[in-house]
Amino acid sequence: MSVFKAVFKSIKSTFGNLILYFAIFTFFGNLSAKTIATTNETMFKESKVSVAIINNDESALSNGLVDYLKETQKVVNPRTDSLEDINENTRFGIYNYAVIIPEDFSEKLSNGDAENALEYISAGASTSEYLLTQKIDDYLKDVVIYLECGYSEQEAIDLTNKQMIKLEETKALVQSSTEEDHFSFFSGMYTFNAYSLMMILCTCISSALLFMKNPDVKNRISVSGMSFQKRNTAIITSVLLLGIILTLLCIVAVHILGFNYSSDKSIYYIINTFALMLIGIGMAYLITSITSSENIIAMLSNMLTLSMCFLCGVFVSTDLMSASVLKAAQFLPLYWYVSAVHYINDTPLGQIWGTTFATKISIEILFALIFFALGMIISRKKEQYAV
Amino acid sequence: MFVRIFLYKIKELTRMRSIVGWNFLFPLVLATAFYVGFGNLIKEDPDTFKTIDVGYVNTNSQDSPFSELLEELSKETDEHIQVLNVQSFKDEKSASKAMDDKKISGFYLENGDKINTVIKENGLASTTLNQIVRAYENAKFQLEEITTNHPEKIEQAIKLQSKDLNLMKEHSFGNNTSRYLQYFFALIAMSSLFSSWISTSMLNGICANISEGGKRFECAPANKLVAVAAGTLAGMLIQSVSNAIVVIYIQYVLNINIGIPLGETILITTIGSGIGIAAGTLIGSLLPNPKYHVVVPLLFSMTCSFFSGLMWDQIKQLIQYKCPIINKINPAALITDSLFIRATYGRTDTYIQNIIIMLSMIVGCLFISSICLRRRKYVSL
Repeated sequence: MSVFKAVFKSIKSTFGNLILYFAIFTFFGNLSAKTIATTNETMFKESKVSVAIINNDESALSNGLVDYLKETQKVVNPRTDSLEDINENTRFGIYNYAVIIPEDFSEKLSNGDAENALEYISAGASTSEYLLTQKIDDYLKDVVIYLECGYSEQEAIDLTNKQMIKLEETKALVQSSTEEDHFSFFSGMYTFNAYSLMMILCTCISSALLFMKNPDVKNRISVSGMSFQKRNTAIITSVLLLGIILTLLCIVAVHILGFNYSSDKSIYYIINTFALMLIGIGMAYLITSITSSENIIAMLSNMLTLSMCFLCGVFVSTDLMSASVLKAAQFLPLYWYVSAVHYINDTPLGQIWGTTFATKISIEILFALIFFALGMIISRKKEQYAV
Repeated sequence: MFVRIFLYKIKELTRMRSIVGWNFLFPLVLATAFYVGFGNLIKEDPDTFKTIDVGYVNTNSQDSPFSELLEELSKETDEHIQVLNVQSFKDEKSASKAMDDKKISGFYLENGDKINTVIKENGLASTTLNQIVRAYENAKFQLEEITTNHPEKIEQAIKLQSKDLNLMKEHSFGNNTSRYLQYFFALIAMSSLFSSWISTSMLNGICANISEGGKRFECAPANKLVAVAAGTLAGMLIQSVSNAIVVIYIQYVLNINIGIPLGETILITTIGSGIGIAAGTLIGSLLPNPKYHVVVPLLFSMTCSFFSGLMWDQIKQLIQYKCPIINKINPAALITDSLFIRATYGRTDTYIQNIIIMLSMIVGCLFISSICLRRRKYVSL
């Protein structure tokens, strides 16, 4: 029991790190998962582009355009007048598009000199840019044509708005919808969990294992009356229990944050997370067998975890990666964890449990065993050659 | 004496394995991981408009104006955009099968006067397909309206409808820096802040309450200010070299164009290293327990780097949108922002402001540290 207690006491120094990674997970993991989560739709739902508007004209024509955008798109506050800041906001997806209505906008339209009457900022030639540019262009073209055909300014605005609202009834038909078409909140959270849990486990377990490697502690335990078997059983049990507690902490956090989402596939996500726990413990064991320096342990943990997260689709979606990178990533454990999360997300509930899921989990466990084996070989060789 | 201490400090610091690992090796490994993971996205933006594959089923016996519109949208525009790639199907069943096989994103079904858009899933591509039908119907409504109320203007209306009026123009900013380059800028910022534990390691050797070496140093008849200045400069030199290696590696080995002249990039990162060194000195002087001399600088560097976009490129801009003051006090965000602004817009007022804030941070941290470190007296050692 004293060895067991000592292991738990030894992680006191890592509380700062633990709180930091946990805070990152609960706050930013949650934010990122909510951003990328999509739902399964059976009805057509128009994609709305988030657009910021700077209206320097404040005329009936410009206000008509603003009202049209407010009705059909997601209008947000630009919160700045600086065009550079607006450009960065569109580039980094804070909003997708910015419309700048110049002071002489209505004057230009009324005089029939409508070329380049409106300016916009977007993040390059994207689909959302094309879509909204077309919509605004259609709107303005309607207004210009009405004005040119002898309608008054107010008539042109009213007719265009009426037409645009009528067109909202033209909707596409959604023919079928599969599980693959959506990405759930839980998938987002459990994907981000790969980074947080790995860092938490590597930091805490390494700290505990390092404490047990301390010559003073080691010698004191050796001269005690405790048998070799009992001592090692206590260390293994305490490390495993520590891993389970930390993993449960992350799982509970995911489910508290996602309490208003349906979680019928939770059991599979949890099984996958426990497989990740074994990888984390294995990696921590391997790292502590390589070095006894706290500094180098922190460096190796960061280096390995961050690199794997970027290569295996934790931070950047695997859809954006090249096929050759994904093939190489198959030799990394986090690839299989992320792949299992995607498999759970894309497969109907009743069909998840099967060979594919079991294979992914088995590969994760295999990676954990490889890390343990490597750690043991390194420790033995170090002892043999007294390194 | 200055030169001697300076050279000895360089020797001492470069022999520390942890510093070589963290400050030289770690940024290179991470830069390689970034490059392998999403280096291709810097050259080919994944958000770029992609031609939509769409099917077309016309149950009418003759061609309609809608098919002409589809033909028009299948041509490449002056901006090199081809909106649609249209495939004709003889019936709805074969078009549905092609959609299920993911050969097309959706299809148009024209039956009499009615045009239906059939899609598999919601999204921007589906909305674009639907918008094409809306624009087509809109033109029809408009002509009906003008025919009813201003029939004399109908010819002019048809002429205007078929003309490209160029009503909108995109604001140009010169260089369009890829949002994925932000990860590399944040990496350079992180590497710069890693110098914080160079200074905490340096302090270990000069504080009598921390190490045996510190005791010898404090009782030696050497000028402390000169010694500390030499050590600080040695640390800054090491970090600047490390940053230069990272920048050269990204620019010339990974072949990613940062978009800033090399000299200026190194200058910005050297100021960044200065912040790291100054922050490390402050941490070391405020926390006498050497146990915290690794953990706290590590937490400081990684937290600042996270908020500057190292793991999530949107985060810095999100903070800028919600609470910009945080970016002005986060040294990693200042370094990242300076690099991004310089690459995209050149030397703007914000760029100069960032440099001034960074220099003020260095002065501020060193000033507080000097107050904490000067004339220390030890009751017992």
